[in-house]
Amino acid sequence: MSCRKVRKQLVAYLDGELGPSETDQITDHLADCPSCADAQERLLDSTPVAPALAIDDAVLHRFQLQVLERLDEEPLPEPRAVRPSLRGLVQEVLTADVRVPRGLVVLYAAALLAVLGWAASRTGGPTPQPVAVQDTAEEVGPTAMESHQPAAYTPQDGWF
Amino acid sequence: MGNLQLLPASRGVPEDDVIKQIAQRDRRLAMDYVVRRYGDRILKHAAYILKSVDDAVDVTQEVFIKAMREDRFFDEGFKMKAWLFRVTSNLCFNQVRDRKRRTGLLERHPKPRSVAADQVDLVFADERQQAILEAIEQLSTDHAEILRLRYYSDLSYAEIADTLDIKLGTVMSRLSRARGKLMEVLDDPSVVEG
Repeated sequence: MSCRKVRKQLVAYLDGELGPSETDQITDHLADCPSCADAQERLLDSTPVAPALAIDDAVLHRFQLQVLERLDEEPLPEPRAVRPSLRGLVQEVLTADVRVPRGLVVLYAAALLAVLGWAASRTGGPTPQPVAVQDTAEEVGPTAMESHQPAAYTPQDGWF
Repeated sequence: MGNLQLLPASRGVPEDDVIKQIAQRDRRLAMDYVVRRYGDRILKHAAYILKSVDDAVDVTQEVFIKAMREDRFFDEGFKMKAWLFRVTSNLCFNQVRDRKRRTGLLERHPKPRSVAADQVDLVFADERQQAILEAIEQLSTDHAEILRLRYYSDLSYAEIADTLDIKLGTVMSRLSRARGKLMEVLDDPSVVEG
């Protein structure tokens, strides 16, 4: 390892923040390089050490109690809104207490029955012949409208 | 009154992930544990910056109130320790700025009582560490802050990266430069970086 690289990583080395491989390489380098060893000494001599604060345990304990008293005065935050899952949404819809006007329900049922009846008549009736594509739109339009089918429809398509 | 007194003194404070599980049932109790786990370190970190225990107590209380109000605080993956140190630093720097502004006003309109009257004594084992502290005070805010976090508050490089919201490589290079500047100031106290 070069001196330049060692100097770059020397602080992290002394702080014990390097991996085993880099630590070993720097240790080996320092053993053989007086200049880098001197830099290490200078760093060690200027390493800050946490000063003892003039705060005794009683003060710290009282401080903790003060903080907790302040927290007791603080209202707890509202529970966070959780993003609903699809499963939760389905469950909510199924279990929801929703009041629907009775008339709307009857109307919906009638419409559903009409659609089902129409579908049943289509599948049970005579097989319509595919409509031949005409050259002019005027001739295609009424034919398609009369049969209530798109021009290219065949029973095999199966809408229902 | 908080639940602190109800907890047996011999019982250890749980780790962060356990505290987060407790928060799902009882957020208030979880915050008790956070105060027990980090309260003194946050208080000391504030005192190192503010040089006043009274001011540090006020700031630290504010930090935990903010934590209580922070919705994400007990979320999975949320770095509580880094958040506490970051908010503490920010509040302290705001207070230092206000103090400098007030000091400026006092210098123009001096009063008999010094504003430094309640400043705390930082007790060192030797004069060398006193010189190092004074040298740190002369460094730029970034360098002083990273040195305090590493050597006074004993944060790992990864924790410093989270606290300052910088990359791990930046922590290494910034600390290395800060140590270099610190040595320069120690060699020649007339050097002022900040």
